[in-house]
Amino acid sequence: MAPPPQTGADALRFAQAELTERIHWFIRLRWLAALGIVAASLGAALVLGVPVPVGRLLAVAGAVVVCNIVFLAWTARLIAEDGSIPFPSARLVAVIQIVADLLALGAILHFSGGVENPVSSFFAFHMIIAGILLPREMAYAQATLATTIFATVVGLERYALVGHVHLGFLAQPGFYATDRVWLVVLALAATLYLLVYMTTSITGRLHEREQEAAELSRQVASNAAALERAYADLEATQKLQVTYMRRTSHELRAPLAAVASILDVVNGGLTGDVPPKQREMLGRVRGKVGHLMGLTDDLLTLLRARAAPPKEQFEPVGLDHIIDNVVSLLAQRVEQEGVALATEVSPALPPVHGDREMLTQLVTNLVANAIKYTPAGGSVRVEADTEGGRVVLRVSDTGIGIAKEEQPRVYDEFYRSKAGRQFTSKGTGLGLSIVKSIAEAHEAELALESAPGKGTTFTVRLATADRGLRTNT
Amino acid sequence: MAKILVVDDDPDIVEAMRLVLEGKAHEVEAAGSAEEAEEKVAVFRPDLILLDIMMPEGTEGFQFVWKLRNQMPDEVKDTPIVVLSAIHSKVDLRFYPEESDGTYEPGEFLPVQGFIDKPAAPRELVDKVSEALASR
Repeated sequence: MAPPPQTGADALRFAQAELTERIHWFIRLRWLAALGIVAASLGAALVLGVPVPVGRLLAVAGAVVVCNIVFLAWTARLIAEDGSIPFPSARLVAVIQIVADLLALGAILHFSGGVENPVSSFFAFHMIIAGILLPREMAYAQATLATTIFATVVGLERYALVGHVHLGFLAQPGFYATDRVWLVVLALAATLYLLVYMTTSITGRLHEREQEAAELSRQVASNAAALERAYADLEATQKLQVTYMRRTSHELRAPLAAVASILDVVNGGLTGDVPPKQREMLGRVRGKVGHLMGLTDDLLTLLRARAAPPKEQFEPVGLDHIIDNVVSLLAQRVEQEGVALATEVSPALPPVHGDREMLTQLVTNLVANAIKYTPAGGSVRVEADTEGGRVVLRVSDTGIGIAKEEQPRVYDEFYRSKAGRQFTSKGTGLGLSIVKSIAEAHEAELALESAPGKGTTFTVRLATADRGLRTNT
Repeated sequence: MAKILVVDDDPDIVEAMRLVLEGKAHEVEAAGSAEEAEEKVAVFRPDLILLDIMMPEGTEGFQFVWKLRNQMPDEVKDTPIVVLSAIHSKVDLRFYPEESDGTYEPGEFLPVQGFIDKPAAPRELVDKVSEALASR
């Protein structure tokens, strides 16, 4: 028997613990058994008037007690640090205990009627225990020993080689001296062997299951470890990717800024007069460069939102101040576009749990978007209030709206709605991706309601600072 | 008419700014690194420094500011500085150090007179420069 290393070790430890526990259980039961022998003998002799040799039975009970004390001392010495008895000694202890018990039972039977005493069926108990705790061969050996002991007692009495105690009215007189006693021996033998067969096959199956379970748990553990490693790798890769893309965006932006500066200088007439046609063409180039710069800016912002700071770094942030700042920063654009911008912020707005810069970006993008897609004469409204324990930000406009079928896609990177592209060529298609990433980093709900030609409302539900802190601790 | 030191590692940016500023009759000197800027400050004695924060060595622009303000001779240490950068609103970099290195306290703001986001439109550049010069 050489089980696979890990499972084997686990199974062995488990079996040792089980065996140790059973050995102690045996010892505890044996005190009761000794007491039982005393009570039964005295009861039979004094109450029922059965002529049993009480002195000898009590001597057997005494022997049982002495043996049990020896077992107790012996097991106490064998117990290892982990609280269980190492396997070879534990098996030896179990075998010797069972042998001693079987011999004691044989002696008791002999002194209490031999074949006449139905207590012979007590042999069965040890068969079950042996079938569970000991290897199959040892269990069968115990059945053989028990049968032999019983047959010897019955045989010796049958042929009058030893004396026989008659149980009086409890048993048929003279039965012990007939050949019919062998039927009793045979029946007991069959019972014992069958019991061993049944228990060993059931425990065999259980052991298999146990091994399977141990193997399975080992596999699960190793899979979990592999998964953890893979996750760590993935995280590192993502971090690297973000770092790489940020660097790239920076590297892209610097030369674009230089191109823009030079174009501004040339078109500003600082290097000499520029003919109108060339000026117009250079203006277009400048427009494209500006678009590219906007794109790299948005990409950087998006990457920053994706690599959001951990929630532990979030702090209470006043959304009212953010809205004030954003509105004043966008005031010029509002005027240029001929759009009315109104705000309605609840005076008792509690601070939200978040990152100030990211939330500023979120509000900026939503409000700038609303202004951008609202034709002159329209209006944009920014509201903030508390609803159901959360701070709710609502940015609504009377703009061009988003078609129903396009609504699920507006958060996709670089996606711009058809109407949006027709309305203005400006836009990178990243603004709402940024909004979504920031909302996700804040575990905020983000919803949109829109009807083409009527307008759009974006709603963001943010955790308040006290609530956010509570979930953090 | 002022003497302006432009510190930027991108010669194209320097050139573009030089054209704008010389158009306004300023005298422009360029430095491609913080080290070069330190030398030029002593010799050129600018009235204003336009400083790019993102020079090759990462944030050596920051160090330059602190060095100028804390370790340079008295006659130049208060030279106004306008920081030129794309990073003002786009990067996590703060314009104040998170940790002290002994010359300044954490959280202390960068002692400069203004910021210009790159690319600066010629008019904006001229305005910011005039503003900074006027505040001397």
